[in-house]
Amino acid sequence: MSGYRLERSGDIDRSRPINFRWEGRSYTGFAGDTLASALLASGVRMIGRSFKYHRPRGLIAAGLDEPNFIVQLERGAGTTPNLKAPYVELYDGLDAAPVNAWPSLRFDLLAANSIFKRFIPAAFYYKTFMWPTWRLFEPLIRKAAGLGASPKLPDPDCYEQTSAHIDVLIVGGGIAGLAAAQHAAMSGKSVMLVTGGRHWGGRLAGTSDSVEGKPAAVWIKDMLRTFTAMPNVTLMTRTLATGHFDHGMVSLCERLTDHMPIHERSGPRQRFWRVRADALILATGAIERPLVFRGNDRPGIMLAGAARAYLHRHAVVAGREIVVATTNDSAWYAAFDLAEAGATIVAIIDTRPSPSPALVERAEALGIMVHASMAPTEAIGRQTVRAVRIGCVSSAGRIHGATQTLPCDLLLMSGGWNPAVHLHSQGAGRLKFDPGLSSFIPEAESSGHRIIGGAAGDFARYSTLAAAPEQAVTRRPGPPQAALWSISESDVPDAEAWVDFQNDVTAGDIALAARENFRSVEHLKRYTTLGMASDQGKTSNVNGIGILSTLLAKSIEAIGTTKFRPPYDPIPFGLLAGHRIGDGLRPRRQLALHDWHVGRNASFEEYGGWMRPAAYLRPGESEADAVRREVLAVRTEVGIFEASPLGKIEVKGPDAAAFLDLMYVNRISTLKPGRCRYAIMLSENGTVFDDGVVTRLTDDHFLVGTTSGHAAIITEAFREWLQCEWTTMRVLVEDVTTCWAVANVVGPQTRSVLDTLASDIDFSADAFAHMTAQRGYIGGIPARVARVSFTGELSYEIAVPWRCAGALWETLIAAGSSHGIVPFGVEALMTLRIEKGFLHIGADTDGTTLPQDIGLGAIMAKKTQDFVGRRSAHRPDGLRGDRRSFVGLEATDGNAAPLAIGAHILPAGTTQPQPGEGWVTSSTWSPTLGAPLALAMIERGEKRIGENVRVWDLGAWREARITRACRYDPQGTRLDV
Amino acid sequence: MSDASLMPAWCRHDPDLAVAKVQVYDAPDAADRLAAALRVRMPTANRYAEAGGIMLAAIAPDEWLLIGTADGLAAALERTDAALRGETILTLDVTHGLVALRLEGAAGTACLAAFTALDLRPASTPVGAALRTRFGDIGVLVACTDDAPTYLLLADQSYTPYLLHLIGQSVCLG
Repeated sequence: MSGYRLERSGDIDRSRPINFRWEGRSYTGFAGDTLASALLASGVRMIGRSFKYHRPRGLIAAGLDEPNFIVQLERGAGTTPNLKAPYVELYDGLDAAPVNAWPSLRFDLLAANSIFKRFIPAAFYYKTFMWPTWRLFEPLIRKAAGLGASPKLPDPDCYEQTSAHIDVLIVGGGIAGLAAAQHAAMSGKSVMLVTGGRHWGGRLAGTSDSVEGKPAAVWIKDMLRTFTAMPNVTLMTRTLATGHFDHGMVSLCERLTDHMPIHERSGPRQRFWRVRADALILATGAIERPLVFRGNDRPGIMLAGAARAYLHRHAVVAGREIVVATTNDSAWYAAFDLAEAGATIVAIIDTRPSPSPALVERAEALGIMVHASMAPTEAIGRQTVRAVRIGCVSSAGRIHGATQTLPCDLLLMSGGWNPAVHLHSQGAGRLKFDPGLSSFIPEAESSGHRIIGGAAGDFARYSTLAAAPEQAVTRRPGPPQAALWSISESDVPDAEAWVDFQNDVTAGDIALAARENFRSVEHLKRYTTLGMASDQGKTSNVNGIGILSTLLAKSIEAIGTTKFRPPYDPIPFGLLAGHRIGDGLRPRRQLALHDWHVGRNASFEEYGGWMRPAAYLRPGESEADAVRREVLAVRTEVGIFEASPLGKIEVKGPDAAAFLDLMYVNRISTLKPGRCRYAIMLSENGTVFDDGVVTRLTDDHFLVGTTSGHAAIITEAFREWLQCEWTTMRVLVEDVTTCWAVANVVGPQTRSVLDTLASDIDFSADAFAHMTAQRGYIGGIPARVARVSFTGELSYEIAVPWRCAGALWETLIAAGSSHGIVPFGVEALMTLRIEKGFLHIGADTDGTTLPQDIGLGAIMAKKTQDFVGRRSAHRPDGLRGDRRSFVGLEATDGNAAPLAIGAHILPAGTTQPQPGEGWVTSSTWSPTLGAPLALAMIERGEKRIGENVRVWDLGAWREARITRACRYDPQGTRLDV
Repeated sequence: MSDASLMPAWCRHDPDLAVAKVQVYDAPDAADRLAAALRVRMPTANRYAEAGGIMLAAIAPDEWLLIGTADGLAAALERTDAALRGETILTLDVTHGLVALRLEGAAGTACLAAFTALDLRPASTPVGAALRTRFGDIGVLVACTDDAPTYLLLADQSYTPYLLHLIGQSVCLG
């Protein structure tokens, strides 16, 4: 037990105790606590195990720079892995557990790794698990690796996304951010000021440090009061800026309910903001650097600034007997504040030979022993620090001379401060190394945003406040800080001195990487994992680069830093998904008669983005039964099918015919008004892209049909060619697919049904030939009717304005009732077209299918004009004699089951799987023929009609024979019944 | 629209709105002739003008939407055809292809902010703005029709269930 709570002070509500559980045990904190502060106040030292060696770890930071205290919050579907405890606000009933210890923190079986540490240095698995095969070890290594566990159940929470456009966005709620917001707001601009935590004022929150002559707490309060009277200012706490993207967009994660007891939460858990601001000001502060020395990862060793933050924000004194080790002034103030709070400061160890006399004088006044030119050489203890050995240190970090041991239960360290430049860097801002700070600072002129305060390397309050209103200030350099990247007793970096706490990377690992010639900082990162994962090197990167610099005798500027990548801290996948879950995952379209289909017990499936009836199930019917019944009804009587998704594009203009000649394999310009033609469209690669029926309405006006779900793509393709290539062609196009609903009446009784309609259209065979179109009225509804067929039966497609679909449909159903008209779904349609051997683009074709593969070679050869894809279709590969061609397959093994779609075609007599000659593209049971039927793409298939083949699918063999694609009514007599 | 009852108070379906699209091929004075025929001042890009109950929105080079009542639109199309006779034009009544929703007030604005990336500040999207954008994952036209503010949202009607799903979600999320 070491840390404890003060009786007063701190931004906590002592009247509101909060019960929570950590590692299965009950604890109590107060409203305003974080999980980290509450456990620190409860005297808990060991809070986790390290990633690789499972060494005991303690809390070191007070913000998202915390690399050790990573927790699994809650259980079941709502569990969240890898949260940083200093950012987890306490709520009643909170239940958290460590992420990398089993069976418990105290007794962790994988702590055995620590014993074998010297055998498993950085990248050991690249070297040692190669024989007999990496795959043998990979599962075990993967199981052992990683931190928290992802939830196994769907996320029960919902997340919101929104956009905001604002005049000024300020990221960071410290004094720099507050002052900048005040200045921007005074000019009347809309200002959004965001801070990741729940408090304002950054590191000065709760302190008595002076800001513009006032105690910081008072200054902050006054500032917030000012903002409440300014409607143009939006203040957002618990809102973390997670990324800075192209064109200045900043992403924010606003935590809406995470701080509330679970039973009180409602609405979205978090909100994802995409903010585009006219001006962006980054006031993201700085991150304190640890000192790198032997055993610096023991529980009870903490960043000095963090201890000061816990004291002022949460009234927690992190230890009772404290040693402070530092390279700079800031840790001295932590020592003073803690001493004044009642802790015993055993000593301040400063690596500098001459710390500020004022600091020394104040330390002496508080009875604190000061050791200059000294540094910690080793932390002593096992599951917690018990003492620290210190010695004289050179400017290069080498310990020399005698050492002495100071007992302590808390060792505070400060190796300097690194500006939090992540958002600046993500926004393409450049960095430069500042020797005074021994860190990277932003190159202000390299970006479109401003960066102020600690984030700019400016730690002086006066200049931060002056910079906020865009005044030109010259940063007054502080006392020079000697860069002290690692401390050791020899020139060899210590293999027991930790650089990256989260990823278990030591100074020795960096030396190993340098020795093995991983000298680029990016290679160093990948080889050692320095700066990876959710930490992204917040506390470790600069130290690591500094050590590499020393080892390579190369300047830090020359080495540079790795790229900072969003998010700054992990965010839930649900937040990124937002509304794109369930029915919002992607837009699905609804038919004109959706409700009618629902009322007829249609089973719906998505086809090309449309929710369409697969079949209409009658009581007791399976879908296969329904399809069989529907197919037979169409073949023998009459069926009705909603074909509204068929693409419809109006193409109009004096050059429309010439344009369509260029777009299609078939010649369109010879089409007479009122006639229709089936046409195939190719991609520029010459592959089959789309098909449909083109109808010439007038000389200069066409209605182009496309496959369902392809209308928008074809429209865009038309426009691209017209706008980019054939700009002088006088053609206009418009997709009108959803302006017109389509009822397709099909079957030998079709004409009997249509003849009973009140219509000015003559549906007789003589007046309305196959592949023609007419306009007229049906029951007073304007209609476009085309006599085309995708089933092989007599068929009329009747298109009416979308909102008139219901009236038309009811009219047709009523007219067809005496003829047994039945609605049929997409699956029946597919069976009908397979029986006829009609091609279905996308099912029977793929990205390699050329027109000659599907029997259009002759049409292509006959057309002398150019068209899109023509040249590509005639490349040598397209002219190969052994190309696959589109054929039919009949099963010859007496098995009534349809052949599997995708099954491989192999020569007759084959007994072992081998590279196939093609595959089954479509397959069904044919109710009409009473046999399984299939279509396939087979090498030289057209020349092998009648040849037996074997069909292999997932270990099962079938026997089959190659046939013509069309197996039903090859003469087409059914079209003219 | 079968799911209209699911809509919140700040979202209204406008079933009586009629819409037509006019495209003209390379006629330099087409805009002026169209404006004269409709007796409106030709709007600049991403804006609409209104006269006689007809909104004329410029949505792309040489592309306009005419929005109004069915009768008003039919008359406007007749005048359009007459004014642009001799040119290569395509005028289509696309009323049946679209759904028209009115999103009103702060809630309507928040809904647009949730599902579009539009800059809805009055300086960027004033009354008279007509912008093509994405709502969720579908293309829409958004016009700011008054400073309440009220926004007219036009989308392909086959996506109505998706639109209502998103709007319903924004209601749940508050």
